Amino acid sequence: MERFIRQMAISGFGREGQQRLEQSCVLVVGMGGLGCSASLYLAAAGVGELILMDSQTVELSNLNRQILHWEGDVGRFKVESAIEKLLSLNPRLKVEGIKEEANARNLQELVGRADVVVDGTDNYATRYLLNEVCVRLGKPFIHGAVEGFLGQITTILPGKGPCLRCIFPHPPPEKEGPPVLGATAGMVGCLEAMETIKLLTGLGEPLVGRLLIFDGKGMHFEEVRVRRRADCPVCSSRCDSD
Amino acid sequence: MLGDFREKAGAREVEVEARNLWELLEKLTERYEGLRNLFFGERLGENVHLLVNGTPILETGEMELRETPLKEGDMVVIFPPVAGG
Repeated sequence: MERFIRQMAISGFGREGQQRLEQSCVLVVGMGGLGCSASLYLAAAGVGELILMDSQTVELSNLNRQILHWEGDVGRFKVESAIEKLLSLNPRLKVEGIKEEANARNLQELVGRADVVVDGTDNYATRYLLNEVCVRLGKPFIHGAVEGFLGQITTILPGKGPCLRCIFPHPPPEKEGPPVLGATAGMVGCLEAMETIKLLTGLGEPLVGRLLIFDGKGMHFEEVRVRRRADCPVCSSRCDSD
Repeated sequence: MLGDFREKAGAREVEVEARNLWELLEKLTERYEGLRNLFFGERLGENVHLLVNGTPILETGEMELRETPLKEGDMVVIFPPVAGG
């Protein structure tokens, strides 16, 4: 417990909060810029179990932002590279790597095992799929996305507030290798980890019904209130309130 | 306005009198020429997210935006799509 003494000292956190983290399982889908940053801080905080999902291997052009992958990892599966670093940081971590692309079948099983699901993906097709499965299974889903100096994050609690499809009814155009500053991905991944830790410990106010947009160029944080859509094809039959 | 929109306009929040969303975007481009390409450069809906009082606008063609009325006090948030990870 000495490892976590500084966070246990946070008012309301204590031994109980730490135990809650240790008993929790978080699914991180995508081990790119967001997933690396988020899983690093979740492992450091003492989350008991992580499931990391990514079918890709490390490329040299990943290294500016995918902070768990280093030069010697080029060509390795991202989940293997990440697991090695995370276990080196926290050997007590239980961690499982899934070298598959996300699909409706494997997500049904993996989301079902998780207490919280973290968005580390780089496309809306997978995000929409994750959103649908999380809403169906009633699992919290932390959405994050980055581009250039811009990032966004929101927390989806099924039954409370809007889902991802309420906020983004249509996917933006896919870009091949969108520009991303590593620090932007690191920042948003950290925020995703923070939201996850808050949900698992019951501390603080989750980012539900609020989209936080980070603009690193001007160094602005903007909070935008977002509402559920009564005609949302994903969550309209499940939401109780805004 | 957030992101590139804020940067081009040099303003975060502006007050505009407009009867509908299309008119709002036109008036903004008259005031801030740098917004024109961002709003109208390609298909509008692919470059811009629009929220009116927290609710996203689903269809962003000219006709649909002209048919989306605004009233005094409405808050419209304009921000760019962000998709990477």
